[in-house]
Amino acid sequence: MGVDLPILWAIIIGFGLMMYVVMDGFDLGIGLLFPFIRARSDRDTMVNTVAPVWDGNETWLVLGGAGMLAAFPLAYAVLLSALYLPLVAMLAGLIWRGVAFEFRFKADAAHRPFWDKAFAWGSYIAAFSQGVALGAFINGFHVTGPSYQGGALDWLTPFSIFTGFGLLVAYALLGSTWLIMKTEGALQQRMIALAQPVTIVLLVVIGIVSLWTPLAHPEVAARWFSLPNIIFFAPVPLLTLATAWAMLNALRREPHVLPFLLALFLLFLGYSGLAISLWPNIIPPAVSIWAAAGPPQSLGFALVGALFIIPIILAYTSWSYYVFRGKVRVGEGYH
Amino acid sequence: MAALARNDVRAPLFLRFAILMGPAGIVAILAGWITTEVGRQPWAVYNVMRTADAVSNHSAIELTGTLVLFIVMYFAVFGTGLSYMLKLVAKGPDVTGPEAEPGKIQRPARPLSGAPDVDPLAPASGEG
Repeated sequence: MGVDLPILWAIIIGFGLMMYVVMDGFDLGIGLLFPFIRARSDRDTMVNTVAPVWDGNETWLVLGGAGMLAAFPLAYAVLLSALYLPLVAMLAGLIWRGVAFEFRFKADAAHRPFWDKAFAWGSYIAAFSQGVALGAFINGFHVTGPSYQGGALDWLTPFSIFTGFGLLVAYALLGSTWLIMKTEGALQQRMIALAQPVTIVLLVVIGIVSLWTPLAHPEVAARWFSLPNIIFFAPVPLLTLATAWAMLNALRREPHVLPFLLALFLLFLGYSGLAISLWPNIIPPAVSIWAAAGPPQSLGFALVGALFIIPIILAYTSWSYYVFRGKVRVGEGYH
Repeated sequence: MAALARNDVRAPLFLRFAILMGPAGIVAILAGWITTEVGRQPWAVYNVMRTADAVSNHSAIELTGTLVLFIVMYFAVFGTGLSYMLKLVAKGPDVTGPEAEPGKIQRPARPLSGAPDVDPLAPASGEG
């Protein structure tokens, strides 16, 4: 066989997961910013900026999960079992904020504050649990044979709690820069003011994770700090600093689209850093994509479907963003 | 059966039957699902893997807790949605309102628009 199917599938799932993180990231970020914005009309505008696209954003989570079941059944079994509690919490959060999208516009006036709270709390719980799951993933899992052998609370470590808070910051930056692009006037000014400290905090978070990971995992340190790797990988931290600097500059001049693009790039850099640290493991610290892959027939069969469906998803996604492009004004909305 | 005149969609007996058919789809889904799940026991994958070999090592407390969480959440969320839908049913179709004017697009109210569709608190929309 000429193609390395597990590598191809790792790229597809990695791509799907990254699309999920950046896309659901900014609409979860809208919920995270709710406590900072009290006026009902502003909150309505915030929700209206993502109402047409948010559920499409979660397509990528389904694609990543289903792709993993098809291509890396071992990873699917172990990871979902090991991360059971944080993922249940994530789903609970996503359910509450998902229905709140509809209910906060349709409910009786007396119920609306409740659905606003459900929207914000659901977003916080979903984003925090994703960050915790990410931290636990970096820390690695106790695996023997085909099953997860660790305890129900192995995911709970100081590091995973830290990455939980870290992801909140990352999503808040995506959300605020999205709103800078999609709104105007006082709400936009508020977001510009918020995005500045959030950028700085995110830079600190990225710095701490970048030190904590190699200190806790010698193999990660060896990956980054040996020659010639250190030269090849140096652009990642350098570009991260440059992007954060460009972000702070952009926020000082009348910003529009640029901060959101820079936030996407910052997330992409962080994601690349993680990929460099963990490659080629799909169940850190020891199970590689080749060890976890299903039979080549399954990978080949599912690949045909994936190569059909991914361009279609990308096409309709960009179409819907194009249709709903531009600023969203007070009172405008699609539900 | 005399009341059920041929082709009369407003016959009371037919309307009552139509109401009963509302939940029939859900009943059919659940019945089919239970039949499959019970029917293939003791196999998780028929003739390949037994259910006993497929279980994770999560504790009964952990699984019961999360199951109860989902049940409570689903009752809350679906209960609220259902109450908004029943409100819409109680309101009935709007055949005489301003939407019935000629030239206006008529469409049924959306499932969750039991409360007024236009937000009385929202300012008038700007020019798009």
